[in-house]
Amino acid sequence: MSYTDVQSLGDDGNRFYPMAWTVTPQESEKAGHQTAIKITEAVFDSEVDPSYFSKRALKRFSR
Amino acid sequence: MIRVISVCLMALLMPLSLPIQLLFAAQKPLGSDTLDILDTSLGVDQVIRKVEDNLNGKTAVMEMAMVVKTKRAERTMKMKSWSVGNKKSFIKILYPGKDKGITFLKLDNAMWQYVPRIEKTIKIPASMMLQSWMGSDFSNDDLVRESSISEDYTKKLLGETETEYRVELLPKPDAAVVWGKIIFAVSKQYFLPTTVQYFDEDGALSG
Repeated sequence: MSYTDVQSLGDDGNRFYPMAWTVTPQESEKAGHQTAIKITEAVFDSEVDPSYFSKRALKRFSR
Repeated sequence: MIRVISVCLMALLMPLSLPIQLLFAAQKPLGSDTLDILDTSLGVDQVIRKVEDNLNGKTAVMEMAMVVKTKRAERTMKMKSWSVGNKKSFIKILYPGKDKGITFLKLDNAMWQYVPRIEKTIKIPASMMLQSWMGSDFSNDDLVRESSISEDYTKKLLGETETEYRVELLPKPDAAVVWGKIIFAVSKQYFLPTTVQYFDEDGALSG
């Protein structure tokens, strides 16, 4: 797995974060496979609604 | 296979998990005293913990796109994640339409999925943890696993270049982990991973 495209984030620009993650499986049966994640927006250390972290939230926030 | 989010995916993914995620007090690059802390094994622990802190943060809210390529097809998914440290994560699929509204919850090492089409909440059983997550090269375990790198592995500095540390992680005897070995390459500038290699119990490189 590789992490690339490090960018500075936040109001002060003091947080650095890899905005692209790429997984390339090495197993022969997965030759040609790749999964790439591109982070388009990231906010750190802000307040997160604790109600996301309950089983009830799975349905509630599904909509 | 997966590695963040919580991350990184959850760890995001992973981040993926990963990667994931990965994913938390990220910081300005360390100063010239950085090398000194690697003189002991505790120093290596600190390097890995700082990497985890930089990836996770105290909290993280992210939007991301995931492109899954196989020999025959390519598809794109979009999602949003909310996480607190690396113990709690929530992911919502935003795109494509057929998957929109699928949600995932990770609490410590447990994981649930809600599928709106059938209005069912499903606990991901232990037997499914190595299965692909949403058809990607990440596994369900990758989403959960990122939380335990610091706790479940012994660390050894293998070497360094001008720009990177190379750290080997071996599972502790009683650790419930799937990998036989992990090799981390860590940027000295950012204290972030650049590459992570996962080896199975037979020593074969998985990804």
